This record gives sequence, structure tokens and C-alpha cells, in this order.
Amino acid sequence: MRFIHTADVHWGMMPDADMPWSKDRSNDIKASFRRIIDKARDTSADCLFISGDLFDFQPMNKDLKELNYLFSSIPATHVVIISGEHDYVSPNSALLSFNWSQNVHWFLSDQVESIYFSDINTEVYGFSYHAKTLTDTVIDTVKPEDNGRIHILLAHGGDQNHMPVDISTLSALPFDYIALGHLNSAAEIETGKIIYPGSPEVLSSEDAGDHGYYTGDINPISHHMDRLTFVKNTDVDYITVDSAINPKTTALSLLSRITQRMKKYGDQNIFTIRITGKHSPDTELDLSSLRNNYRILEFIDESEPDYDFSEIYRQHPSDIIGFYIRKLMGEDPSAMSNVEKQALYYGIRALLERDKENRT
Amino acid sequence: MKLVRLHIDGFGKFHQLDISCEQGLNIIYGKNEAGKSTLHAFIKAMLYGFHKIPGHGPEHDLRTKYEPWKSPEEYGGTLLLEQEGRQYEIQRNFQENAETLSILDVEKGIALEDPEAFLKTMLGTVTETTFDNTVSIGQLRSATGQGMVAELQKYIRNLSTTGDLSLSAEDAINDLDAEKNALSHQLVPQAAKSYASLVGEIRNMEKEIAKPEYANEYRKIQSLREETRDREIDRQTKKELLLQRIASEQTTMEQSGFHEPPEIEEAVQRTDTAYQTYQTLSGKAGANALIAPILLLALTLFGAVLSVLIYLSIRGQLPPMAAALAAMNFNPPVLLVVCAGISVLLLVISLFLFVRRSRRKKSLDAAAAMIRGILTKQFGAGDITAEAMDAFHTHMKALIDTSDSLHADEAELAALTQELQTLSEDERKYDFELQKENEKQSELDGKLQHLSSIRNQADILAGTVQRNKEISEKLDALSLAIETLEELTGTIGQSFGHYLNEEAGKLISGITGGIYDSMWIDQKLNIYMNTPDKMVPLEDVSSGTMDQIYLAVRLAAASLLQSSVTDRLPLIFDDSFAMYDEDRLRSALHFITEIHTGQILLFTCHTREKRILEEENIPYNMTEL
Repeated sequence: MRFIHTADVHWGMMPDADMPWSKDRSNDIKASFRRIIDKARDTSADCLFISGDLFDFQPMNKDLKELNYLFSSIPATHVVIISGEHDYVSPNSALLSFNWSQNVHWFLSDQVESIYFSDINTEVYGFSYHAKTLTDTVIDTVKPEDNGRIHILLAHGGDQNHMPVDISTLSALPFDYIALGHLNSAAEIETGKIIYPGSPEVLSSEDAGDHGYYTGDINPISHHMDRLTFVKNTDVDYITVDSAINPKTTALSLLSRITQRMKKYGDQNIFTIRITGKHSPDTELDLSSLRNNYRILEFIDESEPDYDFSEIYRQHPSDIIGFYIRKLMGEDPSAMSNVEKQALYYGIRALLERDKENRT
Repeated sequence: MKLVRLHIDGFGKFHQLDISCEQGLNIIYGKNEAGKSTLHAFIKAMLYGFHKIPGHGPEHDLRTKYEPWKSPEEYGGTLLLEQEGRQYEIQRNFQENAETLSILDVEKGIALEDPEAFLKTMLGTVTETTFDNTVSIGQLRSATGQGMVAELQKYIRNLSTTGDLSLSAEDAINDLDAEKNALSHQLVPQAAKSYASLVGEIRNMEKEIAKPEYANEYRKIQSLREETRDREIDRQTKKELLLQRIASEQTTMEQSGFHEPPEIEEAVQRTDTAYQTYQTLSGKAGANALIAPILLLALTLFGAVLSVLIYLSIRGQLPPMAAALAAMNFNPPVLLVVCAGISVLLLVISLFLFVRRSRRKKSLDAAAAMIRGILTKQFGAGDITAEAMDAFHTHMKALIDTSDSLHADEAELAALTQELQTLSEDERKYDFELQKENEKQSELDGKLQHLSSIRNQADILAGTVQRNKEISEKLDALSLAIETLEELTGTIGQSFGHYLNEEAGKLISGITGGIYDSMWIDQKLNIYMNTPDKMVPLEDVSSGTMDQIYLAVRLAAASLLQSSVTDRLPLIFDDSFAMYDEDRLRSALHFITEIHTGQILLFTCHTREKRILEEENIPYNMTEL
């Protein structure tokens, strides 16, 4: 029995909402899911399991229609879906009255139900969320009959507020495969048996890494997992580019260095640029032009102007520069707040800039 | 501290040069481009070396600038100086990457272990910048009167507020203000408020959507409607059957001619009664019943005849008869009477019998007709038999049953029709409700769409709010910087500035020969020169006087900034008196030699100073470049 397992698609989400590529990423999520459908068709998958959070929010009729259209294009695949905490079944949900294509089964109850597919001798169990949180374990009491069928369990959650359950409980459940959902990054709880596939597209900088889905083959006689593989389905990732600078670094050289690194990774990625080290106080490190050609999520400037304050203080013990340093650094320089540190840089820079002007 | 001897191996244009200096005033004379400033730079370099001064730009500049023209490998020299009675010789090599410093304690003849530390201690608080502020005294660079005022004002203000000739707190504060302004424009002012209101809107929308009236009842209503339809169909079928049955029952009833069971019962009774009559009479009213009366009639006739015969016999008309009768011993008149009597009686009886039979026949016929009628009506055949009567009874019972059944069926039909009506209404009601459900779902979809859109807006705003926070922090830092600077200028103004004022005032009085006795700087840093009678703004002072004021201020600063130093550095005047007129020069030369007890180096390209010193008998030492 061949299946494809995915979850946490979050169809409809707009990642990085305030960034210009937000809409593109939203489209990528949909395209990614369509590729999974294509894969199901191309590999004649018997089942497509979607373990929750297919939608980022309560789905509307038009969303369901759109997805139903996709599902109807793979009539030979049994599509089994459960709701997670994002697309939970509420009393007013369109899910309650939507007419799915013949091959689609969405478990609407919050109690575990099952559906049997005689053509592949497989019984699939699952339940859906009816609220944003779920503090019951629910699945610990599920007992499939010993009836020679392949048993699959779909479940969503795994933390305190979302179906808390521990690994030993999961391992002890007598299922041939437990298709989990809820973690945006893939995780193998028990190799070959209990899997979080992660979302098919990376959704935020917190789940950087490879993203895709799982595909497996269960032997119809022995019910063993003959093969279970992770398929990478996207080449977009969140990447942090660290760049150390020194007082000799020019803005141009830094820009070109960073640009080269980003080019190497590929400009479809989303970058966080972090600068560390000391820069010359005169150099303006303005990297904002990078935003024109690359997706820059954030600039983290941890660099500090190369001021040797003790040396400066030594040179200006009895004028305003010296007094300024003494006043802001106070008794304990390491106890300066961020604002005080910045004020120190601003003031010294302003004074020294003019000083330089006046001396020449 | 006193400079004793300089030896230059190579520095700028100088190569293997020696210069000696004495206590007191030393004039170093050289024409323009003779290298006075180079010499000046050499002294400074020997004392402080070439190293990066933060904010002053790369050290390379000076090091390269003074690289010796000939033999660059010989870049350095020695400086012999005397500090607190002891002589030390500083030796430096300025070559990049081959720098050396050594200090020889001349008396002991040994090199000091830590020359750097020694220098630091010896120079004390006189850092390189202090050196620039105090020891090296140039002149006002501006050529124009206006320029000089501005320059002097700047120097005085800077010194008063920052303690340094070239540090302008005002400029720094203006720069920071400009930066603050620029950053403020990057703030999105309403972001936080808009965000809060969006969050509120989202909450309300969520609450709205969760209202029970939006519950999705579609399936429920749909199944109810299905049920209703099923029942309708069921009832409809039943109705069809019922109608058929009723039709046939009605036909039956119509055919029978009866409508109601009482009618039928009454007919049955009548028929039964008739049958009874029939049965009873049938024997009695048949042809057989005629026999008796006919016989009787016949007898009557016989009797009549007999009577007549008798009569006739009586009358003698019938002799045979009379003979017969005589033979029978019948009394003829009696016989006549008897005969006649009997005949009459018989006649009466037979008449009676006839009538009776006739009546009976009528009844019987009537009964038979009735029965036959009914039987014919019901069966088509009118034979009156017991079987027929049985069949009749059965048939009539069946009719009654049919009638009852018909009634029941009609009642049921009415009920079914009523039910169907209700069901149809229900179905319409459900149709309507399903429609409403669809509308409700559409409305809900609209709300969800709106919710999704404002959630997205909120996410975007969250980013802006965060950026605002970051900018605000920078603005806070800038404000703190500005505040601190303003505070410090105040503090410095009140201490150093104040003393500078005082000190400079004294010196001004001395230099100008009492024309101006002090200087005053107001809150706005406007400078006034005080005479015994009035205050003269600096702008109104002559350029020559301005030079003097400059000198006084520099000397005052030099004095104040080295107040903690016991053995002060020499004063180095670099072409300071070039613009002075004769009198002023004379006055100045007196002044500086009187107030400064330490060593003075006076670089000049004029010969005037020498001449005046001679004239005034002021001791000096002369070196010519």
C-alpha cells in the first residue's frame, strides 16, 4: 500500500506578512501542495494522508472548492484528512456541509473514527480538533481490531495544549504507521513508524531546514514498512549570513562579499544578514540596497564602531570628550544600557567628526 | 620641562640637523619654507610618536608626510631634555614596522627599562591634544577682520564649553539634532494605535463568527428534508392505492344502488321479511292453492246444478231427478236447501279461497317481485332460491363491509391528504431553511475573508510597530547624547570656562597695557571685552587687539590645562606675531617673557623680534635654520 504523508500545509498563510515576498510565499505554499497531488498521481499512490492544519485558518467554501478540485484530479487516491488547531471544526464550519469528491474523507468528529478501504485492505483511524486547544490525549485508548487489515492512525499535536502524548504511549499503539502532524519541521519519533512530516514549505525563520513530505510503501502481506523516505519538495530556506568585519572593511567590499554568499545559496532563499566585529567609525555600512535584489528578512548589526574608549579618554582627559565618556560609562561600563551605549557612540562620533574637521 | 638639544637623522626636509636650546626664550629663525613647522612636528613626534589618535584619521598621514626626502631609512632622531633637574635623551626611529623608542638616563648612562611608561608619566596630563591646545600657539589664520572675529569667537567658545580649542559642542549637538530629525521621519506615528485597534477588531470578528446563529445546520436540515420527502412519497403511494380502492368501492356501492349500511340493513330486512312471506306464501299461493277453490267452485257448481236439478225436480220438471231422489229417500226441499245451502257455502268458501289466494298471490308476487328485483339488481339473476338468499345475505354483508370500508378509506384519504399537505409545507419550509443556510454560509465566508484580511494587516503592522520600537530606542539614545552634551557644556562653562575667563582677563589686561581689563562671555556665548567704562563686543575690536586677545586666551588655556603639572612644557610660538605691529610686538614680547618662566621657543621668519629683544634687553638665544 503506497501512501504519501504530509501535514501543516497552512494553505492560505502569508508568511513574513510585512515583506514584499509575502504573497509569493503564499503562492509557493499552494504550488508546493499541488506538486504533492501530482506526485500522488504520478506514483499511483493509494492514499494521501494529511495530518491536520491543512488550512491556516477556518476554511471557507471557496477554499474547500479549490482543494476539492485538486483532490478530484486524483480519483484513484484515498485522501484522508483531519483538522488541527488552526483549521479546527467549529459549529459554523463550512466543513460540516461540504460535498467532497468521492475519494476524500475528512474525519469531522472529535472522537476517533475509522474508515475501511476494502480495495487496499487498509483501515485508517483519526479525529479532528473542535477547538484551538486539546488537553486530552485521546488516542491512548484507540484499539484497532486484530482483523488482518493494515492499520493507520492520523493524529495532530504532541505538546501540552495540543493532544499531549508521550513517545512510549505512541510506540505502544498497535498501528502499522502513525501519521502525525503539528511540528512545522520534520521529525522522526520512531523511524519507519511514527513521523512528523513537517510542512511542505518552510514557513518562518524558526523552522529553517529541508522541507517536503514523506512517501512510504507498506507490504500488504507482512504489513511491514518496506520503504519510507523523505522527499525534499522546495528549495527555499531561511539562511543567516554571518559576516565578520574589521575597521578596514569598506562598505563596498562588505556588500560584494555578502552578495556573493547569497548568490551561492540562491536568490530564492530568505536571508538574515548578521554583521559582527568592529567597523571604522567613519564608514557608513549601508546594506539596504541589498533589499532590491534579494529577500532580506532582517539586518542584525552587532558591529560596533571601533572606538577604543580608554584610549580616547586618555587623549581627552580634561575636555568634553573625556567628561562625556566618564559620564555615560559611569562606575561600571559593563552595566550600560543599550540606549546609553548607543548614546555614547552617537556623542563621541559627533564630537570627533567635528574635531577632525576643525583640526585639518 | 626644558628642551636641550634636538638631533634629526631624517625628518621631512631635514637630514642630520642639530639644534640647541637654552633656558628662557629661544628664537628659531628661518625664512618661509625653511621648515619651522617640520621642526615643530618633529618635537611633537619625539614626545608622542606616531600613533593612531581616535577620531583624528589614520596615523599613516603624518608618518608618510614627514618621511625624509633623502635616505628614507634614516627616519628619526634624538631629543635631549631636562625634567626636574635630570637629563634624558629620547631616541626614536619612525620607520614603519621598524619603530623604536629608547630613553637614556644621561646621568646614570643607562637606558630606561620602560621608556613608554616613563614618557607617559613625564608628560602626565598633557596628552597630544592638550599639547595642541596649550603648547603650540599659532596665530589666527583668517585674513579678514570678519574671519578673525569668527575664528576667535569659535576658539573662545570652544574652550569655554568643551575645554578644547577645536571641539565644538554646539556643532556636535546640531549634528545629533539633524540625525534625530531624520530618524523621526522614519517613524510611522499611528502604527501602535492602528495595531491595537486592529487587534480589537479581530477579537470582535472572532466573537461574531462564533455566535450560535452561524452554526452550520445544513446537513441536519438536509436530512430532515430527505426524511420528509421519503414520507411524502410513501404517503403518496398509499394515497394512490387508497384512491383506487375507494373508486372500486364506490363503484360497487353505486352498482348496488345502496349508499349507507342502514339502507342496506333495511333492504335486507325487507327482503328477509319478503322471503319469509314468500316462503310462507309460496306454497299457499301457488297454483296448488287454486285447486281447492276451483274444486270448491266446481262443487259449488255441481251443487248449484244439483240444486237447480233439485229445484227442478221439485217443480216437477225433472222426473228422473225426482225419481232418483225418491229412491235416495232425500226430502227434496230439504235437499234443495241443503244443496243450495252447501252450494252457497261452498261458493262463499271458494270465493273466499279465491280471494285469499288472490291476495296471497299478490303478496307473494309482491314479495317475489321485490326479492327478484333485489336479486336481479344485485346478481343479475332473479331466481329465488335458498342458495340465492344465502348468497344475497353474504352479498349484502359484503356490501355493508364495503360501505364501512369505504367510509374508513375515505376518512383515511382525508387524513393522508392532510398529512401530505403538512409534509409538503414542511418540505417547502426546509427548502427555505436550506436556502437561508446557504446565505448564512456565504455571509460567514465573507466575514472569514474579512477576518483573514485584517489578520494580515495586523501582521504587517506588527513589523512596523517593531521597527518603530527600534527607531525609538535610537531616538532615545540621541536625546540622551544631546542632553548629556548640553549638561556638560554647562558644567564646563561654569568651571573651566569661568576660570578661563578670569585668567584670560588678567592676561588681556597685561598684554593690552590695561586698555581692556577683562573678557566676558554671556549665556549665548557672545564675547565682550571690558574697559573700565564700557563693554565692547568682540566684533568691534580691532584686528590687532584680536591677535592679542587670542594670545591671552591661549596662554590662559596653557596655564589652566597644565595647572597640575609642576615642570611645565615649553611654550612654542609658531609665527604667532607676524601680524603684530611694532608696539604690540614689543608689548607682547615683554609680556610672554615675564609671565612664562619656563622655556619658550619662538619660531619666526622675521628679524623684528630679534631687534626688539635687543632693544629691550630681553635675553634670548638664537638659532638659524
